[in-house]
Amino acid sequence: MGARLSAEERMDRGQRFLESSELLLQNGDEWAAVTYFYSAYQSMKAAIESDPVFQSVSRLARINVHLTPAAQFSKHHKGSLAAGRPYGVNDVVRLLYPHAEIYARYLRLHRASVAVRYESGLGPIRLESLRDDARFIRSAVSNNLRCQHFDDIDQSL
Amino acid sequence: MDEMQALAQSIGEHVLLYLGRERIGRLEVLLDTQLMEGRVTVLLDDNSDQAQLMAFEKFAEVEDIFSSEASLQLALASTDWRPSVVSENAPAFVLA
Repeated sequence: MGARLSAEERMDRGQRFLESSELLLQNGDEWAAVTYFYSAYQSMKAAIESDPVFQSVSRLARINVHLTPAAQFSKHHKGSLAAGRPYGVNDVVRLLYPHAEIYARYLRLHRASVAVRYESGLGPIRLESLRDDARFIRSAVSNNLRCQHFDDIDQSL
Repeated sequence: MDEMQALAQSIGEHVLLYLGRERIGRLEVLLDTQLMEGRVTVLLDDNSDQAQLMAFEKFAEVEDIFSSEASLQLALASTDWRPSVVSENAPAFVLA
């Protein structure tokens, strides 16, 4: 297993994936959906792994009782509490960044990536929408995306 | 109606409520009771960029509601898609 990437390294990887995606998009290649998603994945991991909300167990618990510090470094995409599988990256994005379209765009990217890899293709999702999603998420993370519950919780303590 | 079928039904009804019945042409909820995962497939009447984003945003609220009971994923269908429940025994909800 390789060393954990720093936030800067993740953003660099995300930028490379974004550039690869643009080339695939120019050729109309549906695999752009996969590379756009993983560009966004690296951006979101950079945000999650540097988000100060994970420094306090009590803050996490006030957001969601099942949200633990271990979720900061989860590698799977989706958990299933009922099946005993802890929260994954999608769940953390949903719980920490539900605002400003971040989760909706991330979810569309993930769905498109799954549809291309395992199913019959993109269906009604357009590659141009995914390009905008990946760019939107990268921009938000570059602008210091943080869990907004953080301030609300501090004010209520 | 058993517990799992009731869960599938409830997920489907919440999807209709949150995404908007008037915005959905067809809907299928399939529940995998081993993994406790639900696959929600919807045909949106409007598949514009913003309508899709709105659907995913509202779906997040449905995910929150059922997060202790099932892990849900949303798939957007093309106009030629028809719900096709694989097994009669699988808990499901269909709006055809």
